[in-house]
Amino acid sequence: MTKSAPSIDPAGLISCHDCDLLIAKADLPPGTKALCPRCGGTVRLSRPNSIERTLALALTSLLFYVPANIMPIMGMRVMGQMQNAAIHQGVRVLGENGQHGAALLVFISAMAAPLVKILLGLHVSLCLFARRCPDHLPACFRLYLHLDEWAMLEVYMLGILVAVVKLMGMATVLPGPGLYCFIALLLSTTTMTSMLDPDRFWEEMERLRTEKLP
Amino acid sequence: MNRAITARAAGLARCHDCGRLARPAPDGHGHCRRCGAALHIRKPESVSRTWALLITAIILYFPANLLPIMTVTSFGGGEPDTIMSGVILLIKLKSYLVAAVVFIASVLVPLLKMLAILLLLLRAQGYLGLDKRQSTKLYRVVELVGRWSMLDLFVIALLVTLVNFGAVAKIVSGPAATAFGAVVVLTMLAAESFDARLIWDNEDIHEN
Repeated sequence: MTKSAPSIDPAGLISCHDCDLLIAKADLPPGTKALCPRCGGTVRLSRPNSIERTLALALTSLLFYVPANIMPIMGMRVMGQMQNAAIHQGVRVLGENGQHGAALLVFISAMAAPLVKILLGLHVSLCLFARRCPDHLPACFRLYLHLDEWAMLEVYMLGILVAVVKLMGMATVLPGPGLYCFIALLLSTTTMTSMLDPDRFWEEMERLRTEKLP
Repeated sequence: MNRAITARAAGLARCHDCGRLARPAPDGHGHCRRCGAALHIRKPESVSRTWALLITAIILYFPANLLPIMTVTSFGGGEPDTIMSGVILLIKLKSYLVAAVVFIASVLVPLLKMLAILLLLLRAQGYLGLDKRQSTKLYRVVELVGRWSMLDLFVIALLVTLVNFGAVAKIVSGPAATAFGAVVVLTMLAAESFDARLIWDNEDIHEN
């Protein structure tokens, strides 16, 4: 028999994402986090000035995105011949070799998902910064949260390092201008993700929408 | 004993997308008032979906490791490389650190991840008596490390672009690249479709 407690009011409560335990909502002091007493999972992190910082870092990321994707990440010289590699070329060559699935995956995780993530992060934080919550904003933010996992720039960075070591024995490998932009892009998007406090964003959206109603 | 109460026992559903607690309609359906996502007390069909994704991933793990992932040709000579022969080549080149990174990301992580999801499924279905807290920790690790398996795919995307000198030297990707990518995606989807709260659910059933 399941104990039913229909009298419990969900307002003022949160539940643990990992074990479903009900926990009272509380304001966290800056720089602290709340852990679930039952399973030890992180229930909530305090991230000060989340909206402003997300906005600033989304703008920075957007600035670096285009050069990081267009300019060559690195180049290689073999017998006087020079060959450059940019992120988008990898997608094209994989496709030409017949690995369409792999090409699509690299396209999504190294190009499309990071860009859409930056644009959505920029849009949502800009709207909240301006104290506006258009009707489509929650859907944008949901998409942002679902994309989070599929943007893999840090894995790509490790891929660059491994590729360099693999080629070092064969030929001269040179860093391209895109590499520096890529590192800047990686740092700014990673910081953006770690500054964004989803709970704060949702609460702000809820507050703005209830204010709008008469 | 002052027993803790879960959202499910209180008849509340935690929104999958924004975390807001709400009482779903009597038929179990409804949408979150704050973000618009569909409300469920638990992820729908979590166990069977995760099983389906896991089994598909296990099947594809074989072509991913047995078929060539790339072929290096130099002056007409060259032979296809599988993921494992690439690691062995790196060891021969004395790049032990990179060999270890590639081995961990491409061989060990996918394998251990599939094993972990298997254990979690058996735990959620009550066939295994693993510690709940430890199982939840295992789930968090699986969620965290899965993406790093994409490493090899990115390395290949760079190599095929860079090493393109016609007859002198050329690297061409092989069919294992797509199979391997599919394994990574399927295990990531399996981890996402698994509902970690199922690990704790039988506790409620037994104690109530």
